[in-house]
Order: sequence, then C-alpha cells, then structure tokens
Amino acid sequence: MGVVVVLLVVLAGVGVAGGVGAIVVNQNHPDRVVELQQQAEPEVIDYGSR
Amino acid sequence: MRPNGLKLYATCAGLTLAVLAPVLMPGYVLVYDMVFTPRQPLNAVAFGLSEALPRAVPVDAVVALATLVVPGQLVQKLALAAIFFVGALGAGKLVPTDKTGVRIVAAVAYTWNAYVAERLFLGHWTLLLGYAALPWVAMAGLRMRANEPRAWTRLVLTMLPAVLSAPGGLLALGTALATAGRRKVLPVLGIGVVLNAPWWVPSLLHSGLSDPAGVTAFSARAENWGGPVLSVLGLGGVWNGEVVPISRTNPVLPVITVVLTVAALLGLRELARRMPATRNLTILGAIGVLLAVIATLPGGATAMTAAIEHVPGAGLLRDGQKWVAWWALPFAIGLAVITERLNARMLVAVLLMGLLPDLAWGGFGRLEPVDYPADWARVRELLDDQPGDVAVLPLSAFRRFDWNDRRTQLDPAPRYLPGTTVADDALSVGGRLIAGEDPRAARLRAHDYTGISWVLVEYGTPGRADENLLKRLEKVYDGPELALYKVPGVPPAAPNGPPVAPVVLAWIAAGSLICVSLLWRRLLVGRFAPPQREE
Repeated sequence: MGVVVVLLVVLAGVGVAGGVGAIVVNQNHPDRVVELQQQAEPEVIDYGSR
Repeated sequence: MRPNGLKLYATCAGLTLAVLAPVLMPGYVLVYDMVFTPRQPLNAVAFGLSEALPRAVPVDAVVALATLVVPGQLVQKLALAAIFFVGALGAGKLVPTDKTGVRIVAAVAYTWNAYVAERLFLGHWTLLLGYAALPWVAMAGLRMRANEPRAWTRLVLTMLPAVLSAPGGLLALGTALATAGRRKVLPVLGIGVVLNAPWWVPSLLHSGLSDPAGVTAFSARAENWGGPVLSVLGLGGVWNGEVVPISRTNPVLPVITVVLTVAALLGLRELARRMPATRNLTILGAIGVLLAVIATLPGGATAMTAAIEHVPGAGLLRDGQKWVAWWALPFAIGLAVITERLNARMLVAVLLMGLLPDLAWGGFGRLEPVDYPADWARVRELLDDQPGDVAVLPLSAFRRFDWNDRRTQLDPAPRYLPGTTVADDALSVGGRLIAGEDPRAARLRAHDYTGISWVLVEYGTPGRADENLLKRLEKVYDGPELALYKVPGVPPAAPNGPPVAPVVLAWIAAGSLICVSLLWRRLLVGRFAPPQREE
C-alpha cells in the first residue's frame, strides 16, 4: 500500500512537472531559437552564449 | 529489502524514468559535449598520449573498452540512468534517519535540481557520474572515519565513476577528505592521487596552458534578478544560457532559493548532532560556492586570469560552476533533515520537482536519440586498418546537422572513426573565440596539413571546406553527408605525444589499486583482515 502511495505521489509529481513544463516550453516557443540560428548560420558554431 | 527501502528504490527509478524515458528509445543522444558512437576507437588519444591536453581522459579509454563488448548507445543509456538512479539512491541512503520520506526528499533534492539539469543539457555526463558518486564517497569516507575494517576498499570502488574525469575526481577527493576526517588525510590522499593518475600524469607531461579568455566566458551566470550568487546557491548558474531551463527565470526563484538555503542550513545544524563530518561537508559546500562565483567577484577574474596564464592545469578552474556539486550534497541532506518534523514530506519532494518542471521528459526535446546517417559507418569501414591521421572539415569544434534537429553537438568524428582524428578545438562563446589547446588543430587552421593522410568533409553543418585544398586531393568516397579524401604521398604521422612510460605506469598503479580493493573485499585476501564491526 505504502509503495503504491509513493509511486502515485511520484507520478503526480512527474505529471505536474510534465504538464507545467509542456506549457512553459510551448509558451516560449523554443523553435524560435533554432529558426534564428538558421537565418544567420555563422562560419564557426558557438559552443554556447551567455 | 525492508518495505521502506523499496519505496526509496521506487522513487529513484521513478525519477530516472521521469527524466530519461525518451532517451531510452533506440539511438544516440548527441548534444553539446555528449558524444557516443557505436564503437569508440581505443587509440593513443584516449590515453592522453597525443599532443592535445588530455581533457577526456580516462573516460574515452573506458568508453572505448566498454564499446568493444556493448553497443555505444547502450553504454550511453546505462551511464545516464546511473546518474539519476545511483545519485538519488546515494543521497537518500546518506541521511541518518529512520523515515523513508526524509530519504526521498534528499534523493529528489540531489537529482532534480538546476545543477543536474544544466550539466545534463550541456552534455557533461562524466561530471554528473562523478556527482552521482559523491554521496557514496561520503558514506565510504564516514566508514573510514569510524575505523571500519576494509572501508578503504569501499572508498576506492565508490570513487571509480568520479575519476573518469578530472573535475569528477577532484570533487570525489574533496568529499572523501571532508568525510574521512583529519586522521585519514594521508590514506585518502594516497587513494585519490593513485586513482586520478590516468588523467593528471599525462596532463603534467603537457606544457600547454589554457586561454585566459575562458575565465569570463565560462564564469557563473545570473539566471534571474537574484544575480550569479543566488543562481549558484540554488545549484544553477552554468555559463551557457542556451542550456538553462526556462523555469530558472522564474521571478520568485531567488526568494525560494533563500528560503531553501536557510532551511538546508538549519537542517545541517540538526544533522551535525547525528552525523560526523557534517561541518566539514558544509565548509566544502561553501568552498564550492566560492569557487563557482569567484570570477564574478571584484578582482576574482583578474586573479583567475593570472593563474590560468601561468599555472599549467589551472584551466580546470575556469568553468567554476561545476564545483557547486560540493554544495549540492549538504544542501540536499540538510533540506531533507529539516523536513523530518513535517507531515507533508512528500509534498516537499513534489514541490522541488515542480520548481524545475522542464527537466522532465528529457527536457522536452533537448535530449532525443537519433541515428547516425549510413555515411558514417561507410567511412569508418573505408578507414579501418588504414594508417594515417584524419583531418576534419569544416574547421569547427561543434556541428549542427539536420539529422540531429540542428542541435549543437561536438564533432563526432574523433570518437566515430578508427585511428587518430584531428578536429578543431577552438571554442566560440557568443562569437568570442577561445583558443584551443591542440597544436595539430592550430596547424590545420594555418593550412598546414603536415602528417595528415586523410581529409573528411562533413556536409550539412555551418562552415566551409577549402575547395583549393580539396582539388589537390584524391576523392575516395562522396556521400550525402560525408566525403573522404586521400592526401597523396603523405606518410603516416609519427606519434608526437608525451612519453609513454609514465602514462602506462599511471594506468598500472590505478588498475592495481582497483584490483587489490576488489580482492580485499571479495576474495580470500580480505578474510585476513579483522572482522567488520557492522555490515
């Protein structure tokens, strides 16, 4: 019983995390970053930016 | 197994699946520094015996050996799963409590946080393997402190995942020193020095210094209005803004970070009554935070620049946020202990996950397995058993291929092709170039192809190959993704790395220590040791 409760709580956590994450990611439209990169591809690819 | 133990294991498995479920599909996750290939070459570079600074030693050699028997994608999935499962389980077990809920909070706090998310999305899986080992190293250190027989063998074995990389090895050594106490400094140092020898010996044999421009480029970054110090205290602050989860810009986060930090410190005060070395772990955490933010403090960048300009190996300090791992452990167990008096411990665990929802499901598209195009296997076949080094064009350390959804990824050629591959190692951060450390790559940038027998051109990624150069070469293969050229008349390059003998001795020393530890624990030899107090 206890294990089931824990699993349910973990699943709930994942559900909350997943749901909120999906909304956040969708709102911020991550493909926009890729689109901008593709518009002006540099000769040397950035390792990252600050 | 006790029922409450089962709950902890179930939580660790749940955390692992919550992050890595999409990663477990067939294929290779190729993102930033994380490169896995079907079969990694076991060459001189993997042992630090090339001209370049040995930055991926000994992990490249270990992965190469592993992929001799297991496909590379399985090695990758096992390594990534171990980060979450082993790390969470270790943090949970480290807390001295009889309440499983408290252990679960520690497990969640240690693995579901910004440090793990940012380093995972940056592809720093070896660093994270070391991170996952830290709670186990701490437990082994505490056993040494208590003079338990054969505890040193446990320390050797728990440090193994960490010593795959230089930062991981140092993180583990610091944790072991903090937990084992003053009276065990010498044996712990001895173990640390020997186990880390496969990377520090070849590093000492190289005379190269790192580019000091990396100090500011790789310094901790403010993720919200709280600035770099609060970002780091909340276990975030990695230099690369592209890998930072969007939830880290949450405007409430600095306040929550202060609350959680105070709660963790109160928990550590309570924990100090039950667990020796709590104070040392807290001090180590403070050192980690200081190292992480030092380049952002007045005068800190100047001091670090001077160190990197003049001290070989000081380049290790330039991405200082990685040392926050030392704070993550006391933070997680302190936070867990403070929840001991709460009835809603599970709620705390769920809330910790809710603060960073975008770590779930492989970061929602950040980590996604892909297959290498068939050209890669074809070129590898052509180069099998062929002597000579391969130069890779376009000259750029990173790639963006359509077949990997144009994610930024390290060039896979050095780990895919047999033999030695010379690729550019200069790094561009926000358009600012940070010089590389491989003299052979520097010669390629100067159009000097001395000692190169083959040229591989990768298509579909930014950058150009020198057409005038290619016209002078013999085309051996031309596919949709790759072209291979033979350089006529060039003899195979002679190895020009550090002397082999010290490096071999380093591997023998580390290997011997591991073997003796295993024998001492498992076989007859260990039976001559005094009986254990408790196990």
